[in-house]
Amino acid sequence: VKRLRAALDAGEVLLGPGVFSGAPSTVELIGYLGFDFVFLDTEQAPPGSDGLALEHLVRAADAAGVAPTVRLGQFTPHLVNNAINLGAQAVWVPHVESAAQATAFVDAARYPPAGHRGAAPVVRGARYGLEGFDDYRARADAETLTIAIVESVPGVEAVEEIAAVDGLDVICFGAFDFAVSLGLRQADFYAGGGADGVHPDVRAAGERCLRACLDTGTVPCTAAWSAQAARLWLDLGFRMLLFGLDTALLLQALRGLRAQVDELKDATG
Amino acid sequence: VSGRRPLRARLDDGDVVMGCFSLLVEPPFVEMLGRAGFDFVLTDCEEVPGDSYGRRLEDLVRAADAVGLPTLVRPVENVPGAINRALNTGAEGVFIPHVRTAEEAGAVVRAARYPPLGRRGAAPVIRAAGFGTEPWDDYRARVDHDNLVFVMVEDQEAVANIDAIVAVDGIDGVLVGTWDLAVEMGHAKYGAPAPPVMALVERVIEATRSAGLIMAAHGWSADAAAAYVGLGCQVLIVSLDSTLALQGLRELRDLAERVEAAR
Repeated sequence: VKRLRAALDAGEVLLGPGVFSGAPSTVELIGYLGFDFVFLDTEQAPPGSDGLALEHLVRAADAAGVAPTVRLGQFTPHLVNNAINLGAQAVWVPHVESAAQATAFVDAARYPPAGHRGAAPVVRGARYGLEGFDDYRARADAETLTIAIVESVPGVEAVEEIAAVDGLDVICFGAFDFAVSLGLRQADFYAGGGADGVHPDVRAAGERCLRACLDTGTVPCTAAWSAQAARLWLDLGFRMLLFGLDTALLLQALRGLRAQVDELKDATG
Repeated sequence: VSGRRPLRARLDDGDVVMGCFSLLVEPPFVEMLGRAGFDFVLTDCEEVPGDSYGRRLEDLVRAADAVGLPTLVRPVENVPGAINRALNTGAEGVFIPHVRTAEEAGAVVRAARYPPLGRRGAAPVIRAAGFGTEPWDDYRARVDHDNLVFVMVEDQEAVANIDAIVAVDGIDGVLVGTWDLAVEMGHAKYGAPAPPVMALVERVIEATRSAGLIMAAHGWSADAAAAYVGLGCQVLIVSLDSTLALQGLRELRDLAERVEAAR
């Protein structure tokens, strides 16, 4: 399994798709095809996709050899601890809008003295206790990536102070939520960008996040829903991309199938 | 799972493999068995509660895969659907309970092997084939070779028919069910089987080994496991997750009593 922290330290660019379906088998498919990570969503995925269902998703990622990362439904210290306990290599917190929120997140993700993460040596991430706690603790503190998703107008206004928070590893610019926050329609978000597939106001906010990251040594990340948009963000200097969603991919494939059905009916009708 | 050496290869090398029965239907317990270093987990669907033969079975096999532990499955009974579904999850083999005759062993082979040897239903998109990411021809060639098909001989009728059972083409091995045999013979007790039971067990081992098949047995103690290995058994089931949990709880209970007595 790829160690995401080490890969980023080595200068690698990381791309991985999101799982909104809550289906362990989909996580395994992603693993078999060799992506850098899988983004296991509990914010927009069906109710109950945290808790035991999340354990099944993380386990599926382990079974298929892809690095599990978890997006929380919202920030609470308990949910951060729970995701890391399960074995997530990275935790994504949505809707971060201030340095204080980012600081609380980082504090929940590290054991004392750096933070206040609750300590249990018997968790799944520590092989139920077979990995000694001292080893686990050193590994978890060193490897777990804290990712703050900045995805609103107030969040982008505060991105410089958020990026300056000690211990925050990655800032993810949430382009779609930001577009909604700006009052853009979906059609504007995609079509308004012209050749590069991103609306100019969204792109400008993304570039502001990128600069804040580059100034502070934070890893710049965003989401892309097309190869065109992904290329744009990577060319600008983003180093981590949430790229594709399982439900959207299925929908895209079904649309193609549906078109074939129409053609067949036309041809034989 | 790619990269993991199949149990079949280890058995072909003459290795003795040791594993645990899993009856608790809990993925974390399966992961612990793997982390603790067993060679396989034998996931039970026959005697456990709930739908361990349905979605939960996939959860258990996935847990084993997550820690690199090969899974063998005891299906709920000798029916084709249960055997096919167990293998579809990605288990490396099946142990079919209560096979009593060569005809029943033939039914096992029909359910567990693809044509022409058997009649297993073919689907290229199952989890065992990476949902289709492993090409069908590769998958088929791999499991035709690697999947382990064991029958459980655990009735006196089966012992009487053992030579015919082990002659059935497509059966890889026999697990002798000492407990069921003992119950049927009126000798049920924990620990070493009574001499009349052991006589039948030795008869099964002799017939299985003579036919060139793999012999599997329950080792209820380290000494018993060693004795079975001495008799040529290659697959040893050395405990149950539920038994291990109980052992730990008993020790804790004894400790609690000593603490109370010392007050």
